[in-house]
Amino acid sequence: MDAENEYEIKRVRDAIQTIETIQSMIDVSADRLEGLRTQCSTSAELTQQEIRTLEGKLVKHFSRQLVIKASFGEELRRELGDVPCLAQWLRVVGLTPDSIEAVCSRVATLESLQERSDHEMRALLAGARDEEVLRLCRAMQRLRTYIEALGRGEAGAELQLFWDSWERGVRASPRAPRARHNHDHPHNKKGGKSPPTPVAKRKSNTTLPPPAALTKSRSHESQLSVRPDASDLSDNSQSSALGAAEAGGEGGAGSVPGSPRHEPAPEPEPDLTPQHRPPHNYNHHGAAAAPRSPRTPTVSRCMAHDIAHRFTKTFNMIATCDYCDKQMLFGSGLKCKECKFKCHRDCESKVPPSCGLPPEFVDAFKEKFHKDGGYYAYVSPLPGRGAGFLSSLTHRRRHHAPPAAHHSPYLERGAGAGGPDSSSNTSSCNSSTPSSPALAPPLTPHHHLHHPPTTKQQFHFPVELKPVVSSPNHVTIQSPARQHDNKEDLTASVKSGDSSRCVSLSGSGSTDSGGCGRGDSLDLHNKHPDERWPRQNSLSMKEWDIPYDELKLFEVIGTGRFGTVFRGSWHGAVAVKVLHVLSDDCVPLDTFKHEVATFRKTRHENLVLFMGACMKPPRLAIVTSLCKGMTLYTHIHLRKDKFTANKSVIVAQQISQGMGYLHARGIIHKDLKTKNIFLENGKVVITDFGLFSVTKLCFGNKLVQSVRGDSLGIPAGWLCYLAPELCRALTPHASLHLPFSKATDVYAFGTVWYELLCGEYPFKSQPPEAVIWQVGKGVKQSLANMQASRDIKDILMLCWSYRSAERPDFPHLLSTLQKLPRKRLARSPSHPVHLSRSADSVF
Amino acid sequence: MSKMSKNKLNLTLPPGSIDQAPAITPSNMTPQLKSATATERQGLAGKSKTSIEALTERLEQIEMDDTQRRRIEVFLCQKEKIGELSDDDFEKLGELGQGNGGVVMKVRHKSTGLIMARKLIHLEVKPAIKKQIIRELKVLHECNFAHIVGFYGAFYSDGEISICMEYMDGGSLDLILKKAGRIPESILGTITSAVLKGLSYLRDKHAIMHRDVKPSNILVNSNGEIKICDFGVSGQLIDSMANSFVGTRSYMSPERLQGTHYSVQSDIWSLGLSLVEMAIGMYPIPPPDAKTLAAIFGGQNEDHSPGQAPNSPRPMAIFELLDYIVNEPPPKLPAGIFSDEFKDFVDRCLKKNPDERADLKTLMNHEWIRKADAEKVDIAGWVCKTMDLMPSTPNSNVSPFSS
Repeated sequence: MDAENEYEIKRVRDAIQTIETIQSMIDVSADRLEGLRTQCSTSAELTQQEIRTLEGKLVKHFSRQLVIKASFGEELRRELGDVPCLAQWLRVVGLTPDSIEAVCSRVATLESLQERSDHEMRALLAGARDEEVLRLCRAMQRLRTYIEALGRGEAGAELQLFWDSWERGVRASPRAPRARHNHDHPHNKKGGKSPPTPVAKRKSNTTLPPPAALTKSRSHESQLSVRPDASDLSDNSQSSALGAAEAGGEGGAGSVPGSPRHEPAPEPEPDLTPQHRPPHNYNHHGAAAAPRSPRTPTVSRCMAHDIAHRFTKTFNMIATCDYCDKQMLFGSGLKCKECKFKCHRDCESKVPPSCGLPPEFVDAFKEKFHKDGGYYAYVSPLPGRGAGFLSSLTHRRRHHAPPAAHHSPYLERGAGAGGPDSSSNTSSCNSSTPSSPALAPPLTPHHHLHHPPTTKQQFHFPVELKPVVSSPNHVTIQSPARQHDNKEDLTASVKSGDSSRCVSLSGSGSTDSGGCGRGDSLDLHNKHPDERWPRQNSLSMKEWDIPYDELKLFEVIGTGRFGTVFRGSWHGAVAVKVLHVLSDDCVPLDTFKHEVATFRKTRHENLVLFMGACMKPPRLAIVTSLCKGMTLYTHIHLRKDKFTANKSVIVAQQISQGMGYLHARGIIHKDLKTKNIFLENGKVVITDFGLFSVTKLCFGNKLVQSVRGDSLGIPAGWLCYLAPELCRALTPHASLHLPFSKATDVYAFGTVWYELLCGEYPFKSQPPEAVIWQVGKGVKQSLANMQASRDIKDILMLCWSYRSAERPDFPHLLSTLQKLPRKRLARSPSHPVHLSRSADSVF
Repeated sequence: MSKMSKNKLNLTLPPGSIDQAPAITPSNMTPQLKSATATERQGLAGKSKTSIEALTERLEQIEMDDTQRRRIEVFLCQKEKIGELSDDDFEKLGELGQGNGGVVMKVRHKSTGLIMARKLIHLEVKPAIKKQIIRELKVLHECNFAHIVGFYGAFYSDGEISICMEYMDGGSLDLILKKAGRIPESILGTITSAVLKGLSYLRDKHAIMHRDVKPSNILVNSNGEIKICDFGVSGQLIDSMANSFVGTRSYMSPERLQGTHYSVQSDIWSLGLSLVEMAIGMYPIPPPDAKTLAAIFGGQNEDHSPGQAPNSPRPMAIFELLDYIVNEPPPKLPAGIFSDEFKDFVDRCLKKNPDERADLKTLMNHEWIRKADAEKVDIAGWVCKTMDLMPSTPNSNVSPFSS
């Protein structure tokens, strides 16, 4: 008896020890999981895999604890008390603190929670977001599954134990994982509702004016027609930003919460958002396609946007082919009468039927055009709308207050569904794997509950939209405050818009047509999964890390003080700037990464496309698209090309646009000079922004190298770009911390402007010391011998103002440049204009 | 190029040397236009004999003593055997220092065994510009003077212009200064005299101003020779230099810093500033306070402990330094340590207004210089002592031809 008792005690001790060991593993894993969810980009596939692995591990740990605990008597259970810790489990599951508290207040232990049915858990989480309920249900199910497996002695069994607990969005409103919905809810829905969907689609097609008819009005009306949507996008972006509180509160009573949000959304998704969740479509084809099929329109292989251009000859002076981006000579081009799309005659045949699409989307379209339809099969063809929707995005600034009638329903939807949904859109892309064979059946009743609101919305739509379509004057925008459009906003609103669309579409499943169209064009906006990733606001650097081995380097195309630039190949032609790293000991990689992180936020016509970076010291490299053409430096100083006043102004305008954009994004170029500005068929492409400090970290650069003894190496043609405050701050040693600012960029722009006009550097042939002293003193290059108008010289003098505060900003410069009296230039209205505005509005 | 083959050394009569016997004459103070000189030179080159005798004839007309003349003859004889230089001709022996815009290597010319200093200047320019620079550098072939560093040739290879010069085993005065701490006034007097002669030669014979007078551009060797180098012979080279260096020291005159017109007077400011630096053993801007001076001259004897240059309170920003040069009173020699003549000489050099500054001619006739010329100072001994050199090291100047 004693022995037995002793054995028992030992067993208990062992068990406690085991449980404690497991607990410490849980702690570690839970922390990591938390970190992954909050600090990493959960849209990254790697992160998601990590999360899944951790979820699986945690399920096992918790299960073991439960099993061990269950095998002992009451005593031990009491002794162990709060192990496994319920609150911790709930955190691991991914519930919000509020929900955790709610659950903990009603359930004492994990064991008791384990015994609850999904339905009961839903009740427990009343008021919480739908996604949380779903997570909890699934996580609990995994737990049970594994405990069962343990019971069967199949601890090693290959089970899928994860439940994809990451937040489905950058914003505050996570929701049920998309992937799940795609196969789960459709079922539920489909039972009752699916038949109407395709029918409706077809119907809408027929009821709407045929595409041809649309074509005529498309260029204008289509844009206007969808304005209400744009407005509701904005709403959504706002509402989503408002976060969980709203989402939670709105949910209301009982199990109803969240449902309007999550339920309607999934359904339309497959139809509408190929680009948002391309992975789904790709990956799930096998699994998901079948359930979806009833819903998905049978119009296979059809671009949503299918409107042929109506080309006529154009005689624009200076124009760039919108298709191939090459310059068009006089009279060699065609221009669409409807949307002003321009292209070479030779390109005409290749131009997709993208009439009315803003240029960004055309690019995507172009790409898709040749591709096998893949997920396009799902896309329902509703051309005009799509274009309009997109344009409405791009032209958001012009919107005016909408008629209240249109406004409110959208708002409602936006707040209700858009927010949460939007977030899931962005990040769910990669979560596509058919993660859970086991669906959440408990959700079904829940879903049904939500049909009423949805249907109600459906009925609204036609009514609302039709007048809009016909009356271009219906324009909407919610709050002027939201109108600063920098790109981030744009994306945000696109995302949320997307969600709102989903909502409307779920409704529209039967009736609405507008929504579908919008969706399609949105898809185009986000292009392609591969192209999408670099622009998302994920914080993960992994996505930007290009393994050095993947790069092929060809000839050297330049050496700067920062490194050597190679022509290279990485999925196409690229420029690779390999930074000189002399020693790999103290490379401040974090700083490098941080700086690099700012580049990926840049997407502008006049900025070089940042593609990624090699971030394994000593192999530090920055990969950008390859600039064609020559630098302004080559044009001006080597080839001695003369720039006419008009051309100078065009170039200067584009530089201002690019720089205005950079500044709006909070990036200071720090090294704006003609050597860093390319001219590609008349289009300005600015390179090397923000690299100045990055590369200075990489010791090999000549600037640092040259801080030999007690002197500062000054590269040729650098000083004259330095603003007075920089010149004064130069020291032989510590010049690595120069006070660069937006205003110093403007000063540098002034010098570029001078070079354009005069064909030489200011302070030409003066020794560096003389330049430093003179600039530092506020002496400016004399303009006495310069043949230029007062206005032009004024710009120069403003940019070169001694006091940084007196220098204009780029939007201001741009408008000044645009006001310069000169022959009116034919420029395409599409791109630069709205960007300049956006920059304007920021300032 | 065909002309080159006829006159391989590109040696010419210095313009004006035929009609005027002494190289430095008061009447010859106005520098001729460079272009005019060039044409004249070409004309002369066509007529000139390529023989050493012709050259010797001409050398006799330049103000140099027999030793100096013989050394130049020797140098030219050696040079004649070399011909066109290329990258393959050299064997690296070591780095001599960093010049403005490039590194200076000590090299051996393989076929002749001559030791040379090869300055490499990194340039990224078009071929036409390269050619222009090489052409402009050819002027150096004509600069044969006791106080000008001999020039073997220049060529372009692999992105770099190489300028091959006479190797001076004593190195530059800034290196010597680092070793010696300070340079005695008597030595400075002789050095200054040599530098003034060199500057006059450049200006009178070649209408060149130096543009970069500073201790590191004044070289000495174990034979006691003092020569200047790195003068602005090629405007294109100056314009094309990829990098330049700005340090804690600037020898640039106030008028140049201000971007106004400048002339050979600017070189005189630089010389004056260099003299103060070498005399007190530290760069004199900002001027050292009494305490620092006391620390330097506390011993007051010939005891210049090397490397004792006291550091100035804090490093100035480059602009701050330059602004000091432009706006603050010029530096001067501390009282009571140096001769009044020396002090006066320096003060005349360091007038901020270039018009008030003494010109070359005045300075060459300055009492301090005349005193120095009269006094035979053993530069060779001083150089060898300071730089730990054997009194007569085997170098290009001591060749089988001289014996």
